[in-house]
Amino acid sequence: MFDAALNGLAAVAAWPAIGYLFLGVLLGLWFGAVPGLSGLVGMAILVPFTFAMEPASALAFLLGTFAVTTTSDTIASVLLGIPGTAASQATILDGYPMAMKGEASRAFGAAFTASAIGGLLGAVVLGLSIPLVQPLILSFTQAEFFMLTLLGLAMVGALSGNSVLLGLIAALIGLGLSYVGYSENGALPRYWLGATYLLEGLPLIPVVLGLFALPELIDLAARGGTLSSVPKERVSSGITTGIADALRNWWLMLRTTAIGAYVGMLPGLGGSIVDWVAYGHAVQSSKENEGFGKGDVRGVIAPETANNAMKGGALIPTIAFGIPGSAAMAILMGALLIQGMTPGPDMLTTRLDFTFSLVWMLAIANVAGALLLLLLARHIAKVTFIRGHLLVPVIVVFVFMGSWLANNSIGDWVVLLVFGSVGYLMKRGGVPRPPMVLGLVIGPIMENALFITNSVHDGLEWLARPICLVIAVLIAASIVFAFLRQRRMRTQTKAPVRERGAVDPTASLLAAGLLLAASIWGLAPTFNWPADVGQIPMLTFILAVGLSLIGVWHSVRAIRQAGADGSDLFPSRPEWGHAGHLLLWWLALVGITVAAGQLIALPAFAALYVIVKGRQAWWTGALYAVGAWVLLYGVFEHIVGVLWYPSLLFH
Amino acid sequence: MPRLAAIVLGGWLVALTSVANPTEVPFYQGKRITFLINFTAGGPTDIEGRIVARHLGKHIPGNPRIVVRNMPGAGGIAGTNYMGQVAKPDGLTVAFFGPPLTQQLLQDSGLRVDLSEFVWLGGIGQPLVCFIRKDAGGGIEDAQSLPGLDEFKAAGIRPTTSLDLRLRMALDLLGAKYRYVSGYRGTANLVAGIMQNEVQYSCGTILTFHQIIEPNLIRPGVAATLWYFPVTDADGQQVPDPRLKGIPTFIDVYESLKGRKPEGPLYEAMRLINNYSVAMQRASFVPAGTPSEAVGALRRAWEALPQDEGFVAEYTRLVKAPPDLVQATAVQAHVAAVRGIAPDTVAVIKQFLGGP
Repeated sequence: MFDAALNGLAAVAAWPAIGYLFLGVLLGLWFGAVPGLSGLVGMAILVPFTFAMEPASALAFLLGTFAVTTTSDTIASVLLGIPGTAASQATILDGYPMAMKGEASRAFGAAFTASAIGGLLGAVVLGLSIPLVQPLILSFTQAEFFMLTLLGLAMVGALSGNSVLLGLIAALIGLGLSYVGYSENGALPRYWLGATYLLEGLPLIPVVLGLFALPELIDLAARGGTLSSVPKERVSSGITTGIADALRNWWLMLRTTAIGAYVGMLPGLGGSIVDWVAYGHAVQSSKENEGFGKGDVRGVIAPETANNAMKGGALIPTIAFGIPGSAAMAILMGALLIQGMTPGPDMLTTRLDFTFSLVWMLAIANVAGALLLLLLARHIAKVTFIRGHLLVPVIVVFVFMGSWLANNSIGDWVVLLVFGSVGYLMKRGGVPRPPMVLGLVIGPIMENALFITNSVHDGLEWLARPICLVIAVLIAASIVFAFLRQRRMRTQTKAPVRERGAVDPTASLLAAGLLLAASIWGLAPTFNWPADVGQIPMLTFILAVGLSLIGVWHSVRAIRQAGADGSDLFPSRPEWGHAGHLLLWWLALVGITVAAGQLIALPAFAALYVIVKGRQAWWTGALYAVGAWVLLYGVFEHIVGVLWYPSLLFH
Repeated sequence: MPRLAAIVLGGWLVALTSVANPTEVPFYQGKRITFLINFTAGGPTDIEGRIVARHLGKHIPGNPRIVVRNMPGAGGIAGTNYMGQVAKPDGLTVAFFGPPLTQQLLQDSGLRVDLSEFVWLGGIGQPLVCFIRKDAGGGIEDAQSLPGLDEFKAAGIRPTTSLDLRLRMALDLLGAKYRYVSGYRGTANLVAGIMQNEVQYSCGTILTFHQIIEPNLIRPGVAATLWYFPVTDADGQQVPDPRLKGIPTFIDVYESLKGRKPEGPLYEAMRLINNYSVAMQRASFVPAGTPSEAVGALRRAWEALPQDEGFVAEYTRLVKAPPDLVQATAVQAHVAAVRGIAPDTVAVIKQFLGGP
């Protein structure tokens, strides 16, 4: 075993494998940093280049890329409030408020350190668990999976700030959104509005970018100032503070490493949930947790440790059983197969050297990627002190192209804009957005697992399985904890701050009304569907209708209260003007794309925006246009290989 | 009459110059082909497509660059609709698909185009191999003890896929006692379910079989191989696959258990689904109206692939079996056959699915 570990290291350290590893790290950092791109996109692009390489070089190249996307995805999450990849959504909750306080450098210091340590320990877990892996993975059947998804939903309590009720409604609507398209079991499509685009369901990335990125862009544009509300001179904490923060919370890092590695190991759950579970755990396990959601550094450390530790865990079922837990792992497995390696018991016996090489690659890549970013963090953080109007066009190009990558269809942009509007209303109305994403992610896994469990077992016998019982206890504990925490916070603070920014009672009522309307609309057709297709949506939406009614009632009461106090009922009126204004810009962008394609529309948008809104000289606008075009043509056309919109003029 | 002669002569001259003129620029000179795949990056269709894309270009005069793009969605339907409704017939967008033939057969409402209208270039065949856990239903070593087995669970992906249809129809024909569990999200989850003994029986393509099932289930002694579904020729005779030597065909198993060859409407439906599914596990096509020069160049490139040692070696390393390349005429015939299937066969399949 020890020999195998050493031989594995020797194979990685040899030229050219080590060179490819570092090249992969550089590319991976880039793929992770750009919202909408991800390790998955990166690996799909890079995998054909590995066909002609030696096995060690090929895997070093791919694993280097794969390992560090969850390190650099912190950048967009912290600076812009936009998840860099699906695994860094929870990082936004505290990372973005830190940036607004001028503490971006500190957040980076903590996040990159946490990523390095999480990634390193995750690799160690991978190395150590090689002999124990089989019973662990084999004990998680679909019944345990179903219980695990329920636990994920119970985390909603921790993720919903002060309002467990609104959080639950958002989670239920998120579940409802996940039912769009072909049902997991029957051949009957649900809520598809007659659009082929929706048959496969709502794509995650455009929804997430819509819910999170567009509202932040609107606020950035409305403020007109810089992202950080504190001037650069007054910020004292820097990268070293962040590194110290991370190291001081070593026990939290250890626990979230374990969470990351084990969630990663379970095929199918993976990246889009691990950060939430780790974040929820950090909140639930902290005695002083009132600062979470307002810029608590632990809210950055926990998800960033877990999402790197997950990578080691994810490799295990892929290598040991040929069961890739995620699309990125499926690509990696394809690369292994092309290299003549067969995932399975051989990888743990005759090919153990090579398996250890993979462990080393992960470990080295994680440390190298984090060190590089720590060196650059000071410069990256400067973005928070740049004027918003200069940033908006750049972010818009990335956000729109990131969404476009989902299906290469104009539907991606429609989804982006619709959820941008919904997200803005939710933000203004104080309805937490993370639970909606969680519901959307968990929904299909939950429904699928329950369906299979029901057809495999008779009745509810599966509930008595030991692991199911343990998870059930955890679920109950999470729910009790969430309500206790809410009560404690109510007594401590008189005016509940639900989410960053002021809560507007009118927007709140509108949001609650919208959720109620959506629930009723979702419930209506379920009565006509066969049980295997309609039962779970029916249950979800009955709950959603009930809770939304309470939500609306709360909102009405809040408005009455505000009216009686004589305070403004619609304080965010001016912001809505800005939002409408920016929405018109985006609609124009879509219009020009339909007419002339993205290669003209996006550069034109960037130039015009920076000239008109940013009040820059025409040549700055020209520079923006050229930059955008080079990015689109050089990266998205040539490297990523997107299918552009077939415009009226150039089709 | 002289006019006719002039036309014939003129046509002949044109044909001659277009073929013989050595200075003529090939159609694909300096052009770029978008190789569209209708499933996500990393899936089996994608991996095979990327291997084909790497090698096809060098057999096309003008050596065009080939860029792979994925358009997943709706079980492969989204990309198919795109090829029929959006892609220009300029020879620059070439599909490498897991073609949704069963959806066409069952008249899926999402499919907006007729597959027989595409111009087909070639395909790659992959047979389906079935296996069962040895501890299923009281214990089983090979297909012979299947009929006496207690109830076991058969795992599939979605009721309307050709995988689920075939794996269930086979059990029904043999009269096995089983409970059907569908809904596994892809081969990986299905294999996990079998390892966990949540379900016991399923089938996989030759790639899945050699790369996942054999090393993880067969060789460790957890599961036994049952049979594979052979292609049948025009007379209904089976055409054994040399790559699966040593594994009995379903027809052999049926004959040894029942003492006669399989027949009847259900078997006919299964035979039909199997024939096009095996021959066109993956298939390549361009939109109708694509210039004949482009079609000719692409078809000749497909014809050259079986002799391409680099391609064959790479594919063999991936699948652990050499590629079964199907040429344009055969593929086109299969698509036409699906189009021309008798309504009562479709009715049998729909009835089998529990529909109207």
